[in-house]
Amino acid sequence: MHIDEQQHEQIQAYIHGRMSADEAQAFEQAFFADDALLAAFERAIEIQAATEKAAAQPARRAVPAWFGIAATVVLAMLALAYYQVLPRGDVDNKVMRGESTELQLTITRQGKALAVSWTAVAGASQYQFNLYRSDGTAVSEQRTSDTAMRVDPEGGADYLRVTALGELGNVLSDSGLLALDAAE
Amino acid sequence: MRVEEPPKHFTPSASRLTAEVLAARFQRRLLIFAVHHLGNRQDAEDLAQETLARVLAAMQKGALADPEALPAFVYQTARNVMKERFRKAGRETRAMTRYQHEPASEPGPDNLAVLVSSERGRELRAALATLAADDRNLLQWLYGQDLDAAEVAARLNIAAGNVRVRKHRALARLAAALGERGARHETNPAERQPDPGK
Repeated sequence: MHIDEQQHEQIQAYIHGRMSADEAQAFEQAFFADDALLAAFERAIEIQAATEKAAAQPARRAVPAWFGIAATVVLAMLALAYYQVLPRGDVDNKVMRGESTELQLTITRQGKALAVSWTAVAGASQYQFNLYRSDGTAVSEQRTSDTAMRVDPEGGADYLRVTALGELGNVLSDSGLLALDAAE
Repeated sequence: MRVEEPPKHFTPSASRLTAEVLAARFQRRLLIFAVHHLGNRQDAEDLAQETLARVLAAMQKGALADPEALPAFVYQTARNVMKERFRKAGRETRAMTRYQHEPASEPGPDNLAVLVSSERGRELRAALATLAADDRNLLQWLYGQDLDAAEVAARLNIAAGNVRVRKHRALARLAAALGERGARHETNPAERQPDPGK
């Protein structure tokens, strides 16, 4: 590609919109006829695109890989700390969603106890109410046809789970495992 | 069955010019022209196709007697297609404004970057990465940041006239790094003649 310096400048002026309408028209007319001018133009927009992209990403290349992991851990710790210092009364009337979107629990404080209720599931003959410690051992398992239960916070349980069961004992929906300390 | 003969003024060279040849020669030019004015690739591709179709139809009718005039003819056809679109867009914008919709945004100077494929962009960045920092910076300042020769000269502490020579050498090294035919390989500093201003 052999073009003169003036054409180089014209390419830049055209790309960056620094030409008058007449100048742009003359340039375009030349550009349609001149293969060398086309090649130089292509190279100009290629370099422009490549250098702009590179300039837009210098910080990303300079940051070491461990920085992202560390940042994620710090953010997770901050989120956890924020959650822990939430006023306990905030959970009143809050809907706690488990893994299943069908079985929604509502947990409210009633004195020292927590009242857990849920919406009735179509076809459910009873509901299994499980309490677990943090190490996974079961504290209690109760079944009820009602849609509410009370939990004593001093009973040693850390997690609860409510499962809607059909007539044959089949699971219709599940609240998932919910931490009581988050709900208290 | 009656077979129509081509018009007598449809020259032999023009008659051989198929749609594919027309596209190979002018599609890229039309895309650049259209993206620059319209600001988006989809509209630009539509304009390029419509222009090529009109040019081909006009040639088959014998509207272009001189093949040498083909580039100017294609360019003028593209301008006409563009004007028609602007007129139509103007009508649509006025109609949209009546219904309080936002008009289309103005095309900006950086729209042409959409014509560089991501693969080509990667090739360019890889090739640029093989260049010496001086070459890379110079090309970035001139093309990426649109600095003029005086500004680049001030950054490199060289005479403005030497920027031109350095740019040509940097472009040649970039072409060589891209493996382009005919490009002089000047990436080895030991083989390189000293740049002016150094």
